[in-house]
Amino acid sequence: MRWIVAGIFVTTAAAALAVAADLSFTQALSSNASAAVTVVNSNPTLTNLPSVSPAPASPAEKKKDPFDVAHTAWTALVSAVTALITGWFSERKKRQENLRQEFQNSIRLLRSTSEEIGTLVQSHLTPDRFSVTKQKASQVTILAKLKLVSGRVQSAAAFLHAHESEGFEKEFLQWKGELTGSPFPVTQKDSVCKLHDAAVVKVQNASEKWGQYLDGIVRNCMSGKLDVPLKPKAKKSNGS
Amino acid sequence: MSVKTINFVNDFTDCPGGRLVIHGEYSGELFRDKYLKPALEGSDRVVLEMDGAIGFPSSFIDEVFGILSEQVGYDTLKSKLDIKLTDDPMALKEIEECMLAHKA
Repeated sequence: MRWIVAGIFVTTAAAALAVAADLSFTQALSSNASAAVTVVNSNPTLTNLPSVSPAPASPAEKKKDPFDVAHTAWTALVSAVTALITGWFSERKKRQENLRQEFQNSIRLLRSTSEEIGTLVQSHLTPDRFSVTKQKASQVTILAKLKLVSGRVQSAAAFLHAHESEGFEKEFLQWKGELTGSPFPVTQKDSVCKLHDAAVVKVQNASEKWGQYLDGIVRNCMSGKLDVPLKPKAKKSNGS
Repeated sequence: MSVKTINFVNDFTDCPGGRLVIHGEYSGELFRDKYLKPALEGSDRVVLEMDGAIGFPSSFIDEVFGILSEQVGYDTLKSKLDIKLTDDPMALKEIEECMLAHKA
């Protein structure tokens, strides 16, 4: 924004200067021309006078030469426009880089938290560690971490374009579904939860797939394939 | 028009369990059959306030909203049920997708 304001200011000033210089130059030209005409007309009888070359202009007069002033003004105008465009591009690039960095940090945090959750579920499911007394504590920890990660998913998805954002949320829900769906093993009573090994493998596979997806997002982001928008999208209104 | 409000945390639990009653306490099956379905049948509109819970397992969500979508119909459920869930937007999205996936 400040680049635009500065640019408008400089451009306007330079343009005004250029117009003023152009005007004075035109005026100077016309007054010189009429003076020359007057001189010629006022001396019709003088024919054999030696030619007198005009006196060299003083440095001060040279400085005020309309050609120079106009040139300087136009140069200033071009410089201002160039500076405006360059500034705008560099500011945009910087901002995009910051957003990309912020997004990558969110993904990294998401990945580490996801790994923690995966480990927690697996550890809870390991037969010798599984106990009914631990069940509630594990359930609370896992659900709380999942809720925290959900918030991260939403904020990270806000930086992506629509189709990527939807895919991102879908992948997360799929991972969450593998961990806590059909049924959520951690909530099961000891007598019911017999398939520990199968559940551990399921959680491992799901976490691995989700991790690979997150790595892919970071890779794409680094290589510039994912063009992170300059402004995060507005959050959708909640309620159904 | 009768409106029934259910506050999930106060009326049920802050830590929902798994899918079925046999899987443990505070299951999705229990919440659907004892709370949500009777409320939907007895009122024109049900407001379900779900903020404040620790989290919602996918199996719980599927058992409550997915099965309910099959039982009462997606359109009826959407028109009668007003879910208020602001502190877990991904869970809300999951609920929406679950109801849609089970649309009869």
